[in-house]
Amino acid sequence: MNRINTATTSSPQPRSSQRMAALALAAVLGVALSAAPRAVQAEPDAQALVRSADQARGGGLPGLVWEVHLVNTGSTIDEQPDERIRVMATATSSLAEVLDPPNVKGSKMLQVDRNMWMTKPGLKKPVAISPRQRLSGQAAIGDIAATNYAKDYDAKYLRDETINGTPCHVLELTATSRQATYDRIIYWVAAQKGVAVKADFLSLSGKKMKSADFDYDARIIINGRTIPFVSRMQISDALTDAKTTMSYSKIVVKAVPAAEFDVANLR
Amino acid sequence: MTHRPSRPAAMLIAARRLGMLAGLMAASATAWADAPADEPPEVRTSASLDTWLYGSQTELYADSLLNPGNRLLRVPANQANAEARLSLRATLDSLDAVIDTRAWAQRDWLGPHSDASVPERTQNHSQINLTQGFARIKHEADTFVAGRELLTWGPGTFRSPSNPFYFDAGRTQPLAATPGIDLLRFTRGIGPWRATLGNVFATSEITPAIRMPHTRFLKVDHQGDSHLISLNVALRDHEPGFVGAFAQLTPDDAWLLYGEVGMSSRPAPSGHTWLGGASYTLENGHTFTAEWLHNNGGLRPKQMAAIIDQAEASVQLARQFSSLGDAWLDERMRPLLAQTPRLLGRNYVWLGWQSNPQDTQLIWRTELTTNITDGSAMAMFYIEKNLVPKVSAFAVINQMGGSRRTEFGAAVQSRLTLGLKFFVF
Repeated sequence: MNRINTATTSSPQPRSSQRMAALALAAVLGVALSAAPRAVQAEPDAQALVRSADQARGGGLPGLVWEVHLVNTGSTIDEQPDERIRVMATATSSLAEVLDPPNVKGSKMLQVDRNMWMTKPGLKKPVAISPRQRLSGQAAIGDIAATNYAKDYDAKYLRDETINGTPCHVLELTATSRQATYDRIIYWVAAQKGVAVKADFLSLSGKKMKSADFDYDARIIINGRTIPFVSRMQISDALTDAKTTMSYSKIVVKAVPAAEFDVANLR
Repeated sequence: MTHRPSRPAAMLIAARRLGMLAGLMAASATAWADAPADEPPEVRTSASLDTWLYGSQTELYADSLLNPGNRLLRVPANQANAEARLSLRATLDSLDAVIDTRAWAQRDWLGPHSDASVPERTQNHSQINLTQGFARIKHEADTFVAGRELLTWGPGTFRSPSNPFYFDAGRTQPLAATPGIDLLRFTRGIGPWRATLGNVFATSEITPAIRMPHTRFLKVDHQGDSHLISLNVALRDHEPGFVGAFAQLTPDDAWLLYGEVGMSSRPAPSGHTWLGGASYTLENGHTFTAEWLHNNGGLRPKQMAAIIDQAEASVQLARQFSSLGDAWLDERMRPLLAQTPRLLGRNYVWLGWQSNPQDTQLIWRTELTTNITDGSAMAMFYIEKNLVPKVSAFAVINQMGGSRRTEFGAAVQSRLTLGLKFFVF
């Protein structure tokens, strides 16, 4: 860095000296700015990143109807058959109907905020169930419905990281309510596309319980804009080789009437 | 003596009520008419057919006081059943059509008669029922239903005190096929509130049989983030009314807390029934449930003892005077048994432990029902295993215990049911 002569004297400096001092100051400032860009560039808005990622997984939409094909694999899985489920979801509610396998066809699971019920053909009335009664394999009911992490979690920016060649923002999500499916999530959101690439699901103590990765081969149109949409989510158990792969298809974005989430209409 | 309206007057009353419901629909129809017309209608259909084959073997208490020698209740020693359950669903946008039918055939072997000269008897039964058959329109938060619908509600497992039509929850009978009731109902939803107004035309298909035709009901629900509260009133002309309520709370992922209450002078002289319950779900999805039920219309110990004493005296007479025969005993005992309430006792504790009901391969459930008043109990174990995608096997074991002067020790000792379910399509 050139030394800047800032000495003050009582006598006025010549004009050429003033011009040179100004140029030197500008050069110093330019070097300082280029040498330390992070010091002045704003950290990405973590909550905005989560909202963007949510939209590609059904969040923030007026409603969503889709089919989910669940496949369970792993040495600890006792030959669980594939399941095919039709789901209607809004921000706070979801209704899932099992289409396959035949022995549970027609079973329905209703979730309204933190309340959940299920019914099966032959059951006299819907039964209140717990979110702990996991849907299938590693998948919870929250994994097949629309994702609203922005509503259920506080997001904190951690760092940048590249996953499989994709630059990502890494966020830490902490549940703000007991309604959230998971206590804490480490969330990788692609920097360019704004979609979630990977997630680690942690307990309150920070122990990793499951992890997930996502594909976005589907497309939906929102307000005339085509955006990528989740087509596959694979959840892996942290301790065993058990995995559940969910493939999403027949995706329709539309408002779902509230009457669909009335427990009296589960028949 | 109650005065019942004449048939034409009754039809006029029913027509007026239908008119009221139609008016409610019309008031809503204008709001329903502005659905967007540019979206193609969604059409979905589904059908499923299950067939069940199962057999039961029942052991009776040989020294039963209420059913000596099985001459009164004639409980089959062995049963063979075949059932077919067909379910059809169709959806056209906001309109649903639901049809559930059940065809059932049963052969009973009544076991040896107390008179050795009488050969073992068999009986055949068969029936075809429309379990449900209704049309439903859903628009925004509103619903309109017409037809035969299984109108059940409430979080209780052992019984449903808050429901005027379905007191027996049926969840304690895993093979039950509960029929619907014939009704018109309209539900309006506003925010977390729902109000349902309905008219029930017939309840004749329900077993145990109840007769509540021409019943109007109003039900109001409040659905919160973690709770559901409901209050209902059911009225019939010239008959006592019914008030029921339930509440359930989900404080966290593991716990569910709930209660139900029903108050009416039907069927007992002074009938109110309370149920309180709680369930806890483990991380593996298994659930423990405990319920306590107070049945104010149940028999007090002295009343139960009086029935048993009368039955015992009748049996002694029949034994002493063999010429009296079964018909005499039947004539003495049947009116006595007909007066017993739907639940004999006044206080029950029900305990349940079940596997994750979401499991597609293996589910099981075990329950213990205890009549606190007389100390008798009934245990039930149910298990269902999927063998191949379209076939499941199941078993039900019931074991009763208690003295012959108690509810669960009075007649049936145990029952074993084994069966197969075929999921045709």
